[in-house]
Amino acid sequence: MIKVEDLVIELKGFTLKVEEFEAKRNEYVIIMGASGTGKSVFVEGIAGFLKPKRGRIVIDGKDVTYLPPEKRGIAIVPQDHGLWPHMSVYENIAFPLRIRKVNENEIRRNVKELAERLNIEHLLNRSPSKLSGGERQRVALARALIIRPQVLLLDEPTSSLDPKTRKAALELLKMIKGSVTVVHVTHNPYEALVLGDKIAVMNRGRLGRPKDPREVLLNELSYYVDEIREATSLIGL
Amino acid sequence: MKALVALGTTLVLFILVPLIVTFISVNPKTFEGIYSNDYLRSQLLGAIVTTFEASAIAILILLITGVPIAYVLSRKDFPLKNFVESVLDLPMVIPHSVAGIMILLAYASGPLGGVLRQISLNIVDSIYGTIAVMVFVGAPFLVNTVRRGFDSIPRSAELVARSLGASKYQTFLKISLPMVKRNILTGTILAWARGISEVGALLIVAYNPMTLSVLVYDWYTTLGLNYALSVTLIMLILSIVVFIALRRLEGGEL
Repeated sequence: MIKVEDLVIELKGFTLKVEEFEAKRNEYVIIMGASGTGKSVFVEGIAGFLKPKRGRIVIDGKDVTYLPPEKRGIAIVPQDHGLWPHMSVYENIAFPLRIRKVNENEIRRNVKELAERLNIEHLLNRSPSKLSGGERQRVALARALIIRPQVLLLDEPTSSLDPKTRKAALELLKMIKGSVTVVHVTHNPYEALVLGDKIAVMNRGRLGRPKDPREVLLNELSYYVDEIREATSLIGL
Repeated sequence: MKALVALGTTLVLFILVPLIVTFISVNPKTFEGIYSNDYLRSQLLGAIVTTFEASAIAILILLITGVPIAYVLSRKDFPLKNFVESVLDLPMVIPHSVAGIMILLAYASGPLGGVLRQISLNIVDSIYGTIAVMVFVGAPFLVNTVRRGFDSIPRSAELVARSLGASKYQTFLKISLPMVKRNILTGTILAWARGISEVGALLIVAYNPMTLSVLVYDWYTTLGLNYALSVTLIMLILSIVVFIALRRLEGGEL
């Protein structure tokens, strides 16, 4: 569970304000908004990379507002997946456990189990540079899930994928839905509606409260629907 | 396109011709002369040892101090950052003899020179002076090359490591540093090459113990071209061997 209260982050020429944001245990909450509205600032803020001017971030009952990123229990999957090119896929996934000084046998067992679950077992010895976009995403997800995070933070995880791979990626995210608290940042309304238990809309640095997807679609994302209608009528659908 | 190739080839030949001419101009009898003369032989061997010893220590100092400052410059914004960048670039544009005078004034005379002498680090005509000069002239090459490497690391690579449990230092050592391995090797080659080729500043700060570059100059002025040529050849071969070895380590092509 993650709860954000009265959070203000000030950067040069930009202020992020979050009055109240909550993702309950194992809930899948979407942060939706156009580019440049402050989604990434929110991600980096709750992950601990930007210092807030005020406010509180609570994860599973613990105030983490001023804790460093490594002590928050948040795992990030960034837009470009952030795989480390000097390590194999296995080493990428094992790294968070090695940092925690888990013994090698247990690391091997955990990596194997997760790799089987995400269907990447055959990729373990490969270099990240030899992976396709979809494979890279699976590996990034496995690396994040290996620590059993309290919150999984997905920052535009499918935006660098082609449409076919994106569909498979959505299936993968559906698969993990319900097993971990997810905060998923996207500008794609389809992704938001397919995955989100709740959707919070980010607009000019202000994050609204997470709401029921249908309510958000009707009241706050109607312009997307209008655009889609207009586009489909243009091509005669 | 042909004109471009012709112009480019001219430059390549301009560099290649002296290299070939140097190799074919060496008279093997000069080597015999040096080998049979105890004084000349020990001077040459001493210069080889000094060159490698001083340049190895200088590179070590540059790695220990240069890699951290390259990382800080790449990652942090702070007051006077532009000033620090300019200071680190300065040795590239300062004439060599001027650099020698500066090092001499700063670390040989005055209060700092006194302190250094008290701890047995007299830089005048000692290997410490040679090392100081090599660190001074090599710094911009190492720092700038390594910094370019840090600049090219996607921010996400470090953010992910931190979020998954790595501290700042673990992230630096296990993620960032291995990702700039090639830049560190390239920077090392460039700084090393710059260091061993230095003459101007060494003539002022530490003429002795002579490095190979200083010995080329010394023998050219005292014994003539043939003797200078034999040291030149040795230096060329050693430089090429080290260059090839480091490039191999780097995993790049020649």
